[in-house]
Amino acid sequence: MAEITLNGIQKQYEGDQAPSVTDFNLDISNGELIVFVGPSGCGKSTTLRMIAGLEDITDGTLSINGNVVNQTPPKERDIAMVFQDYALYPQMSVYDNMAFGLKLRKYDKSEIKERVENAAKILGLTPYIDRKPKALSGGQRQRVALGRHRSESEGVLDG
Amino acid sequence: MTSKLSRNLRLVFSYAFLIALVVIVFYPIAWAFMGSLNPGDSLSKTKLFTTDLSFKHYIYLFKETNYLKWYWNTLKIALGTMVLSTIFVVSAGYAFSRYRFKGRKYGLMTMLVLQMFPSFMGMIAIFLLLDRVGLLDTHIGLILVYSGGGIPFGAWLVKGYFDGIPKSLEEAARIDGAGHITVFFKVMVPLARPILVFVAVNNFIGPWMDFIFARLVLTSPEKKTLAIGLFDMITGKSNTQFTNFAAGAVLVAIPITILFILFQKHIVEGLKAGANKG
Amino acid sequence: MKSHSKISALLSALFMGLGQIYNKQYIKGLIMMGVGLFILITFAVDFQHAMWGLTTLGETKQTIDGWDIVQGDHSINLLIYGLIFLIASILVLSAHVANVVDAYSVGKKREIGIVPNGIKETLKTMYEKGFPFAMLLPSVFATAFLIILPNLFGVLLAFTNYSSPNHLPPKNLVDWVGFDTFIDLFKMDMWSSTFYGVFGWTVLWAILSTFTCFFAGLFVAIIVNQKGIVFKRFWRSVFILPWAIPQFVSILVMQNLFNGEFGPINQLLLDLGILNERLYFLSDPTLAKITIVVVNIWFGFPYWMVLMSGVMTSIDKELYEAADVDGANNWQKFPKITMPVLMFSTAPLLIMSFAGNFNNFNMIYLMTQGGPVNTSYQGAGSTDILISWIYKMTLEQRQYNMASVVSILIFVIIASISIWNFRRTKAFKEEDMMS
Repeated sequence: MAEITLNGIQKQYEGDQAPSVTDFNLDISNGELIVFVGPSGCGKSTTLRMIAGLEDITDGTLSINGNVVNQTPPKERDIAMVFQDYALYPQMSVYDNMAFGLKLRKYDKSEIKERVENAAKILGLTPYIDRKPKALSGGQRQRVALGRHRSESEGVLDG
Repeated sequence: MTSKLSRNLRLVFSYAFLIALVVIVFYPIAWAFMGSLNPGDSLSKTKLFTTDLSFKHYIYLFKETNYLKWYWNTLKIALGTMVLSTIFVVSAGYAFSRYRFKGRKYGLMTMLVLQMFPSFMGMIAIFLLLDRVGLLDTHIGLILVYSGGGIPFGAWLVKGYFDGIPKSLEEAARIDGAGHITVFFKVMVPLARPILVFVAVNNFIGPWMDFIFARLVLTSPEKKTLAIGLFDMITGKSNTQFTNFAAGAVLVAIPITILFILFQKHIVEGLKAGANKG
Repeated sequence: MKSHSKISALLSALFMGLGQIYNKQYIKGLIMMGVGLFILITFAVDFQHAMWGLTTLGETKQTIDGWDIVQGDHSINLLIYGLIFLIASILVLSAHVANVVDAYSVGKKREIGIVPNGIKETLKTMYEKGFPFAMLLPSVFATAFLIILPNLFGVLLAFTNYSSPNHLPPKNLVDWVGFDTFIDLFKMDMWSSTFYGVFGWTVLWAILSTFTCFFAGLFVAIIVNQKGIVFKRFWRSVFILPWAIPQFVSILVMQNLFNGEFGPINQLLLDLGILNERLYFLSDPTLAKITIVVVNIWFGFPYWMVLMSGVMTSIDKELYEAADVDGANNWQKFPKITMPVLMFSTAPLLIMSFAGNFNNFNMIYLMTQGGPVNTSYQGAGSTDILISWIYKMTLEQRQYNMASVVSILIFVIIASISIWNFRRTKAFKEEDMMS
């Protein structure tokens, strides 16, 4: 379970005049649901991407569970993110899409199977488990993207 | 009913044209094929319609010349070139497409400019260079020349293809816990398969056709490739070897043609991409 | 507060790895010093000699002392040796700059109180940040030595007098002569008349071969794709054969078929009563040019047919239906819909194909080897195009410097065409492409 703290976060893209995000402070406690709302280009996605570790943080500190993670690569942050285009791997089946992260984290085969099947059941994806993303509807794809990261401790970002 | 009449007339002419074109397309092929089966030695004695056939030229190739050796040499070189150039081109194309680093822009520009030099320009230098490092008259030397020469075009092509794959896929994989290598092999390479097939097939076919660099690099007769062997058969002082040449040509043309037709879709797509992306 | 950044950068500039040691990255620093030492030993001593060779191309001529030949300097070996060192030193220099930058940035971090990475973290960041460079490394090396070096060498030859009979090592020295060879090409009658003649035919050939194949392919595609033609797939697969068969082989076959003495085409035309006497297709200058252009259609039309068929089948059916509703007939639909779409999607390919034909060595060389002989040309035959002329100058006549001058001109022409083409296409405008 996770707590996230943003302290004076700033993002300045190289070549841009004004920073995209300035002095952003936020505490997110465990289990809390946070929604960013604003006009396009105001830095919502940039902030999410900084939390996920996909963008470098120009200034300020980001901590997860009290540890500063500014320099931590995304895979070690234990975070899940649903992309705007869902970013499902087209060459893999629904099952493999959902199992990919667990496989990379070296989970047991049987445990992966159990977790993925469980998640698929909750999300109503069991009948489609062997299909490729191309053969799914938009809504189904979104659910696959949600079900793809199901280790215990993650926080979820929805881009 | 004039419109129906004109329609039929049009179709009659069209079919006549198509049949004529089939004859034209097959005419040289038929000559080469019949030449190879003709019991005589030269083209002037070859008949297009005859039942007097013989396999003596094929037997001659296998018994009296190094044909099999050339075939084996060429196959080795083609496979080596295919593997090496695919490695070069895919790694470079991927780095140029997916990463931002200092010098990237200049690297891309250089690759673009290098494609425009006429291929013979570096011939002498390549000869001297291979001589200096002891790779002259070796198959490895020739493989290096072929795969090196294809980098600028290939890297651009593959870069263009990778550019079309959404960045979010790779980011998703990174969040899933993949490192650079996993992202590359598990996510990106499978998605780039069409262009990889094109690059591989293209580089495999190349060495079967080239007689310029092969002749430059390979000097001893037992290291020859097929293209030099066949070329020498027909461009010597006398043209009496046409029938032997034809037999050799048929044996090369059949596998390469089949390969081409199998991968035709990839080749057309690859060429289109090549023209559009520079 | 001490300025760690400047001190360590300075130390690293002095010798590779020193600044890293100053920054207390001992293992990393020692490894780097080892690399630096290795470079110094293997490289620096010979560097001066290499640069001397590159600038002077040697000073001592080969002489004969009684019965013995006393070897002098070999200018061309010196030239390539110098270039190898030049390119290697650029690679070394960029490694050195990276070393200084690294020392500086680590020093900078120390100034604000960040402890420098140990060897373990260093390896980790190297992997994280260095991955693209590692991916590029094989290609950079291969490109540097197999493409850049040879082409640079080729360009430099244009500014020397490396040519037969008076300037061929090891017997003689080669010298830098500036733009003399360029001036010779345009000012000396025997060179300039050859150049203009061959150049004119090259351009004509490139235009004719591109357009004949383009329209032949278009025509065949239209016929095959008509409504009412059956077995479309069959026709297409037959017509693709000339493209699929190795060109090298089929051009040589064609060369024999068109042979004036024993070629079956002559025989066929005689038998059909079209000709009264044998035609020497490849021995008469004008006839040879016409023959090559016509034969080339056989090789070139399938490519365009395949492309055009692809475009035609992908044109939206609704476009035609809309035209039907507007009352257009077949004769109007073609120029108004099909043609513009075809032209739009094949124009860049047309230009690239022009550039390809401009340098279509195989077609010319394998068909006629540039012949028939043209006595008013310097080392070129009547059907030679620039690229085959270069080939002959290089391998048969040893006019290396002139071959190189003509190569540079080809490069300028092809580069202008490609850049112009490139700027028109979408690729150039994509923001990420060139930035």
